[in-house]
Amino acid sequence: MSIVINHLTFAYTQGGKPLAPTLKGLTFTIEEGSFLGIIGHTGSGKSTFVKHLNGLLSCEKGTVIVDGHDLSQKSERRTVRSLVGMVFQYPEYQLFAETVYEDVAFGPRNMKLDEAEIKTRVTNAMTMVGLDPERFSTRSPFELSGGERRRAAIAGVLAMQPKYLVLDEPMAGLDPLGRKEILSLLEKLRSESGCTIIMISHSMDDIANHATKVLVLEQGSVFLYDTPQIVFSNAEELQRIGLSVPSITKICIEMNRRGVAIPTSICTEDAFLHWFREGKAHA
Amino acid sequence: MIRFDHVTFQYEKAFTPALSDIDLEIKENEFVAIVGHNGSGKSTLAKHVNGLLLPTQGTVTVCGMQTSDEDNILRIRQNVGMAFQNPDNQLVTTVVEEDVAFGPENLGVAPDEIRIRVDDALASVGMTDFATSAVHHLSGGQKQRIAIAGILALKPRILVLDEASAMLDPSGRAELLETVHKLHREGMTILMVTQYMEETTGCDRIVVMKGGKVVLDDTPKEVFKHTDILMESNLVPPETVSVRNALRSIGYALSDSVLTAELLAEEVCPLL
Repeated sequence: MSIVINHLTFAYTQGGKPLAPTLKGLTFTIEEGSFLGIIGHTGSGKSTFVKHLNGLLSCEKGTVIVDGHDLSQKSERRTVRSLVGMVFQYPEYQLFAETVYEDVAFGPRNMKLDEAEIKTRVTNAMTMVGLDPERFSTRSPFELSGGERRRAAIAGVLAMQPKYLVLDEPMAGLDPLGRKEILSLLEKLRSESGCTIIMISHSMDDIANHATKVLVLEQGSVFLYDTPQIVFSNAEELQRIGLSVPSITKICIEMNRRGVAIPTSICTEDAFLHWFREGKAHA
Repeated sequence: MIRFDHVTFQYEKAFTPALSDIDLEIKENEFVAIVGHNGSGKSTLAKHVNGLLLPTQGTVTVCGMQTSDEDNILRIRQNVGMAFQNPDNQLVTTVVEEDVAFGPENLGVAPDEIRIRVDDALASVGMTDFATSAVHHLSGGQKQRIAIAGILALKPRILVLDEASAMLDPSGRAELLETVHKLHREGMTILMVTQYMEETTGCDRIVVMKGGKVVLDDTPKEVFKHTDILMESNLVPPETVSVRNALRSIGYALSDSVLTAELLAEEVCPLL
């Protein structure tokens, strides 16, 4: 199964009149089980695009089809919303219940599950994000640290057991350890429950280290859609549209400038060190 | 120029102090980065520099004036400009040059002088061409530069940035950092709170905070030798430093000054 996006076009309206389109004919497929990183400068259409994945916004032209369900059919939206979980920017601002347990239980309760099932889901989701249910269930979300609050908010989405998890800059504002915790959580979700991850991020290093595919948006169009290795070997083009390349790629570019032929498709520390161990003899 | 003398600060109703017994001196024209985990006290510390917060114990002295003396506050704030995380919360008008003029107008600066200050401030942040543009048409990085121009028009001697790059995309962050370095070269004293370790490599000094205390205070070269202390403080060194350390462990003799891609390439290439 997959998410098939075909000629997706969308324009916001102002006073009843459409503005210039924010998304212009996007066409590509997000494969199940992948980790899709979405990059693009401010205003390129990233957040607008992901809101189409569960019908929060609906396109005027083109289609978005999630596991065979066409989002242009209003009757299909409810089904799709149970498949696609959304974590917005600064999701902890949306915490509202008196206890962490109740906050995480809100989604499953809306799905009209029975109390035993809700309990299992809440406990699993809290364990998944590293908030020990014994310790955290009865605490108020507002007395948690910044990183813990963010994870509690994500647990609320995980408790609905989505097949596709969409996150809009989930690491913004967190310290380096908090960022690492979220990223390893996403990796764990993908490997243990086969959840497809779709993540918007401004950190090229994080995208290089975790994404299996990278979507580059520029002025509402697909600029590149490929593996991180291929996307990040286009350093000049990326810089021209206000993006950059991962730290490792920068080092490779500098080495090439000094006459060492290391491939500039290398974008992770592992691949870089591997070249030093094995590859450089052939360079 | 800025002096923290045994500063302890406790928020109302908090169980533990946000800052405990901080001793810190920042000299004129120094560029100091402050890093630390969420809740380490770095923003609390920044807010003490212009008297937005006052110490529970100890004193903060800025340009020779104590922040605890109410009579000093206005003069301190004329010396210390502050930029915050969200550019949209810091802009007050709809046209760029009006926004930059807002501060000096409020101080009752003469109109001719305001014109000069606005032009100078916009030139400093590289936004002269946008003087008559609408604020809401600018990118995040451009808005943040306008917010800083508004601060510069007040002619401060110290600029405090409290995670000012947090909401910007990579090019916005690069623009902002370049602007801050330029102001530093022109003589400004800079205190920059940041979550991005790679932004700190070009500073004079890095102060690492943990649980309201200073755990490291040294040049980037020295601070990034202490990966262990950084990790204990919930921080990680910049990717380039982590690669440098990994290359050392497989036999490449790289120096402690290797903090950027250029320097790493410069040292490693001759060894191949």
